[in-house]
Amino acid sequence: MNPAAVYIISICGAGAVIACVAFVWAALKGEFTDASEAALLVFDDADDAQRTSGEKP
Amino acid sequence: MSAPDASRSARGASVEPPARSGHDASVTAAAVYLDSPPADVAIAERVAADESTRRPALLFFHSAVVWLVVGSVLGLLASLKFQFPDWLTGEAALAFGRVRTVHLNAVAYGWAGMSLVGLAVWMVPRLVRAPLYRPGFAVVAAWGWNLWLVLGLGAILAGWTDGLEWLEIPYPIDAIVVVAGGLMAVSVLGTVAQRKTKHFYVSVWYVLAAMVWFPIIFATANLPIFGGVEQAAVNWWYGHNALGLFITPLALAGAYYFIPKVLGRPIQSYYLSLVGFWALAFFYSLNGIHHLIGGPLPAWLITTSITASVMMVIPVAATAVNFHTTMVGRFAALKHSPTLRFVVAGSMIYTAVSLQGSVEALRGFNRIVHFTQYTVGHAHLGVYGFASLILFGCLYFIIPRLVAWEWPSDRLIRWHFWLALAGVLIYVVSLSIAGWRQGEAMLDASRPFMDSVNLTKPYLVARSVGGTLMLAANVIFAWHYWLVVRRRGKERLEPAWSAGEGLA
Repeated sequence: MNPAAVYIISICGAGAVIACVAFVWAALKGEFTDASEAALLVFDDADDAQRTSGEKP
Repeated sequence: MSAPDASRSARGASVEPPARSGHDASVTAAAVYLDSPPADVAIAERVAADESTRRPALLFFHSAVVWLVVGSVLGLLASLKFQFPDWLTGEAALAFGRVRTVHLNAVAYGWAGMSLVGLAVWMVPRLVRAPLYRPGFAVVAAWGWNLWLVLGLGAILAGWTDGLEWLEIPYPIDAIVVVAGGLMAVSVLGTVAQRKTKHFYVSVWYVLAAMVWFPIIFATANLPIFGGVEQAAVNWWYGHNALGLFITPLALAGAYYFIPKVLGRPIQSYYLSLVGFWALAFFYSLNGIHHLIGGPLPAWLITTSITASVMMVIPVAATAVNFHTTMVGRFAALKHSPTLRFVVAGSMIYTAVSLQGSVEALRGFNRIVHFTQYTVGHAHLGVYGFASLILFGCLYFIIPRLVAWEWPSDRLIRWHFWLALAGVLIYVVSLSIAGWRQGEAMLDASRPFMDSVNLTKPYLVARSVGGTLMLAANVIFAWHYWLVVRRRGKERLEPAWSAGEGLA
């Protein structure tokens, strides 16, 4: 087998294992339970963000 | 509260915020925070988070803007050498090969890299409601990053390079950015470890991933142990991942933050955004080998890369659908918000450039465009059309909050946007046509090779025109940036464009 293939696949394989572990960890920690609420994290009533849009109430 | 923050709050209070549909502040706090603090405590903590990031974020942004101008000037210089090949030939440092290489490194690592890291530094503490961990690490990282670039680009101009695309800076000098990147990762990951939120917002996922991925791919690709074919394979594995596992996730993190933020409307499907993130995480890392289609590598390795490249349609479609459905009914806001205008334009180009990349990886298509100007156009659509437009939008939002001063001129923002967009479109369209015709000519055995060179001449002139427009846009932005950070112009209680009819 070409050494290049071994290098690339080994590194990507290690990366895939890390990604899988991260995914399982996230699932076990409940990251995906009611995760849609996380969509609200960007909002902060102290930050007058909408003034950059010029939208009027 | 610092003086700038106090000033900002006082000025911000005079602008009536619009009603935000869909959620209530107290409900929001209970749903997303671990400790459901009173509103005033949460606000104080957000202000503290902002204050902790001000110095390092500004250092990264200031540096990035300088590198943007330097890189753009060198890019145009390299482009003009196609029209004036005898221009500036007396000095080796100004030869095309060196100037073009410094251009790439200055804009990819100096402008895009530093501004994206600055964006991450500013955004993550807000999203996890915790101050930046060890902000001194981030400051040292910014200085280290600059030192790496000054030494590295100086080495390239002096003729000392590793000779690998995207990895030209000599590897002993690269040790500096490995340390700087490590400090940066400790600062960001340490911040996330202190989080007071129940979940990671999708932008935090992207930032975390980039902070882990980039040091790994950069350090691996710079190991001086590869040679021959495997060096080429590792080179392109890195080169493509520098875009896909560093620049792309950080730019998307910005888009996922600012589109809902400015609209005052949550992202349409949060779960779909997670699908986009995890699909990118699983499919992207093998993409780079498609640059070596036709090369002396195992066919299965290249086929795997092509498959991974096509699978990228999944995260791209998930992201595009999510952004579009979030924007539906709110497109009028593009007229008034520079942040939204730049970020949405960059996001739309992300969809286009990613789908273009998937098609380019197919053997039949690649056979024609490989080794042509088409690839150059594609790269610029990615780094400038996608990432840089999003970054400009992010900076239009962030900088007034860091320096407590509004952008002085809506006219300069308007010029910046249209010059940047027109420039990159002229550039990419001309090189795409040139590349296609060039590829066809090279595949035609009955035509002399010089045909494939000569037919590109008018398109290369168009490229210089597009490059000139992009340089003009960047210089306007840099000048405007200088004005706002120096707090020049009239003090305003609201953005310059709010008083008029918008930005159009």
